[in-house]
Amino acid sequence: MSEGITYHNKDILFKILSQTYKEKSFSAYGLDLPPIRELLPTNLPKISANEKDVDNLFLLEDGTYAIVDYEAEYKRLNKVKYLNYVARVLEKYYKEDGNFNLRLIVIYTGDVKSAEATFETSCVTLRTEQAFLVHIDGEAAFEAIRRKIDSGIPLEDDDLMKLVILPLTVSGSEGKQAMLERVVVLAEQIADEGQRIFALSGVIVASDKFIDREYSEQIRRRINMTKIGQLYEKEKIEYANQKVKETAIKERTEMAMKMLARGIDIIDIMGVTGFTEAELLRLQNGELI
Amino acid sequence: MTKIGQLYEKEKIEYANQKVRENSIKERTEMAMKMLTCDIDIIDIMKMTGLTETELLGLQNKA
Repeated sequence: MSEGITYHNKDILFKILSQTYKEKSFSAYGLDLPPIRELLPTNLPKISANEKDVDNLFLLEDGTYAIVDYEAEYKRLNKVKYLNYVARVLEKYYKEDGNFNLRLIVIYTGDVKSAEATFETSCVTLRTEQAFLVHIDGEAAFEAIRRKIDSGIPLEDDDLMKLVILPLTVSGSEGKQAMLERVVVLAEQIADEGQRIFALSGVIVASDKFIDREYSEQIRRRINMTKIGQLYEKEKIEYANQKVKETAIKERTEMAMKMLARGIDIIDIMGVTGFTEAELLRLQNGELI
Repeated sequence: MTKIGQLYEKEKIEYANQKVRENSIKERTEMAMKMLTCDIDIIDIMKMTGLTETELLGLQNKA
């Protein structure tokens, strides 16, 4: 991929998750938060070009906003990054109605056992709420969910929330990637289509920060064979058809203008371009068709 | 956007560009064929469609 290309939050995975995260809870990660009302876009206003997007931004059922960031190591300096996130969320969502609330959740992968939750200076105190996935036995959770799927027992929301972060419970990059692959295979066996799509999208989004580009290509090949792959394919074809249609109209319009400029008979222009007389007259008058 | 999303986005744009190119050639060819049947001057057709005389004569022979 060209490094110069900027990708925005139009990934189909975010579109899916924005609809399917609703009412799910973070309790599976050991966090006491109200249920999720909505997954919000993460392309917040930027003050400088090198600012990163937050990993996830949620609106909770009680109207609180929640920034969720995943970390594979504890760095004190990350608090500066969080302050930047907070400022950008405030810039976008803060309204002077007195009801605004924002929480900052840091979910540490299986690589981190402890971290400082607060950052204090004389002018600001930043409080984070932390979840340590090292406390989740990923292998046991995977087996429990696999047994449910194999037995045809419907999965609970907590199972799904756990499933999407299972790769992050493992320490080390290779371990995470291996677990991600296993979760993708397992998720594809979920009978309920809505749950299947949520699990696949959720695990890819949650693991994205921790997989390299080469491995992304491997996962994509696997995703191609899933329902998510079909959604991407459908989006690709629809986008191409739309572009072809737009370009065809533009080219026919340009051709009609060239023919009009050359004084070619209007009946011939209608025959060649497929435009009506009224459309050609509008073009001649400099109006859009 | 996720890394996987970026791969799909790149594929989507490349696919669309390819389809637009293919369709553009097809459209220009079809319009040139219609112009030939309308007895429009071949130099005008060359200028308007960007096709060469050889290409237009080839089209004329196919029609």
